[in-house]
Amino acid sequence: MPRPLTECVAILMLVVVAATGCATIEDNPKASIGAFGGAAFGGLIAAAAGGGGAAIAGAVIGGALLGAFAGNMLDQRDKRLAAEAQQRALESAPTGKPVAWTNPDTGHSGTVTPVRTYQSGGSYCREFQNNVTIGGKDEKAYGTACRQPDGSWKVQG
Amino acid sequence: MIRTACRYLAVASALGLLLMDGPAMAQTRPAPDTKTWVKEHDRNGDGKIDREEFNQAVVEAFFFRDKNKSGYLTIEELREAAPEAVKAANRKGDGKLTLQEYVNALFKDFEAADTDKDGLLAVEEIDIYMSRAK
Repeated sequence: MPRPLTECVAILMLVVVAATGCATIEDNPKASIGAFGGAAFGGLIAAAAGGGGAAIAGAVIGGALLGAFAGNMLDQRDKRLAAEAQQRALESAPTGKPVAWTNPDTGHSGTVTPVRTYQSGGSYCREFQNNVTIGGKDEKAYGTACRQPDGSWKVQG
Repeated sequence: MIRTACRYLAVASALGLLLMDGPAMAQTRPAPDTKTWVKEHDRNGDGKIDREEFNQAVVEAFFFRDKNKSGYLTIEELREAAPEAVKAANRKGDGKLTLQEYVNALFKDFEAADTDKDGLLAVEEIDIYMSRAK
């Protein structure tokens, strides 16, 4: 398989694996006034500071989902770091704010950036962009993950 | 008269927590000012917040305020808003503010702040709206 294709496969696999990995979290009128008044915007502005008091307890990667190529491109620490970054991003990062990971051992790095948040069937879902740099080359992929009752995020589709 | 006074009191009490929030927020980064907030949510780069951009900001705020990710907000999770305002927004009266109720309530503020009625919120309009409570 040509190298660019293998890298692309690796990126896509990383998106799936990072989000489906068994990541867990510990806890886990012109003068008129609207419903909440000035506080409405105060609340929005404050919320934009980023939420998330959840701490990541640890992340285990579903290695079985990885193909041989992705397995060769990304080592276990890459996968763990990427999964942790994805969990942090989806759980705590405001839209547009990337959460980065880097593995000094392999030189591989990446970012996970939420791009949209919504509710579906009572569950929270977030669309995100996953950027990974492997061998000096940047690759990106998009995905959507929904929050599970246990605090993990499951990639949709 | 009393109703008006109460309403402004509700706004004022809420405004006291305007740029601050709970520990979960504080541990990430300081709350941005209005200009920064608008810039962060202005997807089309026109310098103002339209209804879609506002809706996204509201949904995201709901997500972060829902500390236990229950899918709804309680009065405790909306500390900056006066309890009576939350109760008014909570149509079902069950103390659990749904995303739809939250969005509906916030869009009333959007309309109230949008003084030129162009469907867009400028930094100045937001600041003026918030300053009314002072």
